[in-house]
Amino acid sequence: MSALPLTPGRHAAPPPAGRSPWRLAGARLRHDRAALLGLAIVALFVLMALAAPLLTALNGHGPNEFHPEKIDDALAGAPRGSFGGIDAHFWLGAEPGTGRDVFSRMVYGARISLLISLLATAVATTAGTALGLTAGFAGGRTDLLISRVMDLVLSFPQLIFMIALVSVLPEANRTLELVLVMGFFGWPYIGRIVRGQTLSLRNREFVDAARATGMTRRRIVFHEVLPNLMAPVLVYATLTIPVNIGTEAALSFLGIGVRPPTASWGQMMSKAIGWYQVDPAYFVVPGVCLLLTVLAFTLLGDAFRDALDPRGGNR
Amino acid sequence: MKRPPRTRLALPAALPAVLALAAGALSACDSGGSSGSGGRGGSNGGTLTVLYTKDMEHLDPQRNYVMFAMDFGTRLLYRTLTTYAAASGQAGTKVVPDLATDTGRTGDGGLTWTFHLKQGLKYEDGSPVTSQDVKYGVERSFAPDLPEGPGYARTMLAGGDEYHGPYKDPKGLDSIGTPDARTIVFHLRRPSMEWPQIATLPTFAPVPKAKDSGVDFDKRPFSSGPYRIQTYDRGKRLLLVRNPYWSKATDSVRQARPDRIDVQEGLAQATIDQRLIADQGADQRAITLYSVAASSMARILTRPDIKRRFTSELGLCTRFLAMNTAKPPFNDPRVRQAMQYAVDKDAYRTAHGGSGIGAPAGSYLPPTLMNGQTLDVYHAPPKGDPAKAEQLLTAAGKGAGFSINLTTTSTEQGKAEAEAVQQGLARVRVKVRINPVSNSVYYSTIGDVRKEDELVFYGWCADYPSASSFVQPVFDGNNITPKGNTAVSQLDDKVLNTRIETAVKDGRSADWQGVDQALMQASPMIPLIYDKLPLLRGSKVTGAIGHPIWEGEYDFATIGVKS
Repeated sequence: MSALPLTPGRHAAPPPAGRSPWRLAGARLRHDRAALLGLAIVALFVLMALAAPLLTALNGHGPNEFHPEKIDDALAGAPRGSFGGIDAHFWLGAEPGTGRDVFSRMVYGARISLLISLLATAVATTAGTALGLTAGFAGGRTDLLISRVMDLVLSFPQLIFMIALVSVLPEANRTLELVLVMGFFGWPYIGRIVRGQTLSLRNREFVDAARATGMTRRRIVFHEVLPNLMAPVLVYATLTIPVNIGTEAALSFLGIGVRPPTASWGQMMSKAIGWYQVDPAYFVVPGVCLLLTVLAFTLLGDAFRDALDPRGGNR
Repeated sequence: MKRPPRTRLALPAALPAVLALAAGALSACDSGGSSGSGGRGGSNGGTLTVLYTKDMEHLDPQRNYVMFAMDFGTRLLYRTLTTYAAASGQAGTKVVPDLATDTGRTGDGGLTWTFHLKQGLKYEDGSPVTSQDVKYGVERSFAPDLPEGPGYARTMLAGGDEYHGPYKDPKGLDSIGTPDARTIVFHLRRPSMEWPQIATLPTFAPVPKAKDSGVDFDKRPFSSGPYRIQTYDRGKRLLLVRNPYWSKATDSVRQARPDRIDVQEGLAQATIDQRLIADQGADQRAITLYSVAASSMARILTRPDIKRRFTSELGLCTRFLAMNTAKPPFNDPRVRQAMQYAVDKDAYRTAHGGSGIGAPAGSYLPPTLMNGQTLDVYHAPPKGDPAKAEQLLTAAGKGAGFSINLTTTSTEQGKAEAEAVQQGLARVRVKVRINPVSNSVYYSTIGDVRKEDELVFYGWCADYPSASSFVQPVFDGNNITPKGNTAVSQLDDKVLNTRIETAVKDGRSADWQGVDQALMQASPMIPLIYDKLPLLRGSKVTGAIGHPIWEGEYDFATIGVKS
């Protein structure tokens, strides 16, 4: 890294010197209210997903338990009571048609939605970084080949291909399939950014210096180039998560998400569509959850970018 | 008498309803409370608007084999030798003369059938309807170019297996005789007392040879009924106007009240429901052609003014959960019987649209086929009896439960129905894995005997009110075919097959009750509900009754509009 140690400033003025760029970024983030809000929401949902069995133990309703007493059989299963059947036992009401507890399904849905989007982002980020780094550093034919593959994958109409792929894959583990398919269509975005960065880093002085000292190629890649890529990768990955949450919801909405009766927010939205005029409360729950998580991850991603990228930053 | 998949139940049908359904409580007064149903006092004139999501699959009488389109065609555009009385409930299953002067005569126990045409029957150009035209119409149904229609004429008429339609064999089919222009004689391969009912099918609509345009006849059928086609822009609009040559004097069934019938096609069902609920302007004189969406049910049923415009009538249909008896664990009849108690039919019905769209079924044959009687063989409560099921499963050595697959459609509703079954069976430790497949391949998926899952959703509608058109295709083991199978339980029991075939020959309804009972004991399927069709109309539509023959569809013979 090229940061020069500066003498400590005499004024208690902003640039807190003597720290690594990561610590600098951390300090900036701590003062960014939007980032903190995003982080809080993310933490809340992650906790909720992890503690799903505990939370449903509190209200005593499993996510797949039918409660026929909560719905009106003569009305195709519209929930009894106001606001979708909200009461002391059903904190967010009952699902139309089945009487399942919406709160229980919401917290279990958070598990699926977060798990799939985080794993898919991890797959895309890992693959994209590895291939982008290889392409940028190796150059020549390897670069050509990898870049063309990236162009090819990017040129697919993604959602349509995801629908087609998920539909033809044998029915094994739907969650894993969704992760892999979403990861497959996600890696070139990150791959291109990593390749571009690698190309510019490859000829920077500190890399030349490392080369001159006789450092192995491997060491140069992992110790000199890769750490400098972490900032854009982190920013991009954080911004990919909300996209993946949306994609997972879209796929579930289109009927090719996780297998019923597993709850997911997209599947809840899909079911809510037919009911929004009769039971708008049921539409609000997964809608607000999706909105909040996507917003939180986007705020967080933006804050990371501002904190880590001095050129693009505006603060 | 196998029939093509066309008249199977439309799976995605959903919905709702109103009548409290004690099983078997069906009667002619159950009709949706329409004003002046069946009466003659209704007003004539005006335009009836019919709203529909798609285009009619076929209007060509010899190709028309979709329930509501058969109603539309035979009530408005073409007449058949016999038809059904214009009434709801049991009264609607009565066969009455239409083109013919009576419902057919036979002197030899059903081998030869003679019909005489009424006098004064005319087409839309004023030319007379002759018995040769009826013969030619039936012959068209043999043409390989026009394969979609019912297969009864092809399988039941003598020499039918070697005849290939009037385009290839212009000589015609010898087993249909026309001694004069107003007499037609059918010679059957085997005696059947059901021929008068079969003669209600649109196969028996007259087509003059000179007007036959082959496959193009579909776009512009030549009318013998009270209306003729003025314009037909497929998928958009079909406009019917009066046929000036049709005379009410020759027709005791059709009232032909509106002056024009305007079918608007290609609308979303949610849009149709919304328009009918709003009940504004021309939509006050509109009806939906097919089932309202399940999600509209609560909006309709919670408002008394809208509920009054809602009809939900029993048809000749039952929905089942079929067990694949060719695979373990359902190759064991004891396990199958336990399932009769394990399933939660109430939860299924709620997912399917609520208590108004079907009566819980205790046996396979719908009450409309059995003079209103229903049978309850297992006396399982609608929610099931998990304790009893568990006891039976333990006796069968399956007390620890097992895992099976259930095929359903990939629609929201299909999945909801599957979840309802899943939670019911989970009570007895049966783990159900849901296998959603797209609607368009649903029947080919479950009709492939080797790939069929252990459990599949199924449904059947009788083509005409006789148990033989219901039981034989679904339960006779001789009808099992490797692909496109209709006997999806794959139960091939020699004794039962013989009983079914005997009952088909004798055709007594007491026999059918015995067959139903015996089948229920063998338990190849779990009967879920007797189906109703939920329909909505505008406030100025009169005479709107659900007709049991066509799934409970509005009877176009009686419908009219107020000014």
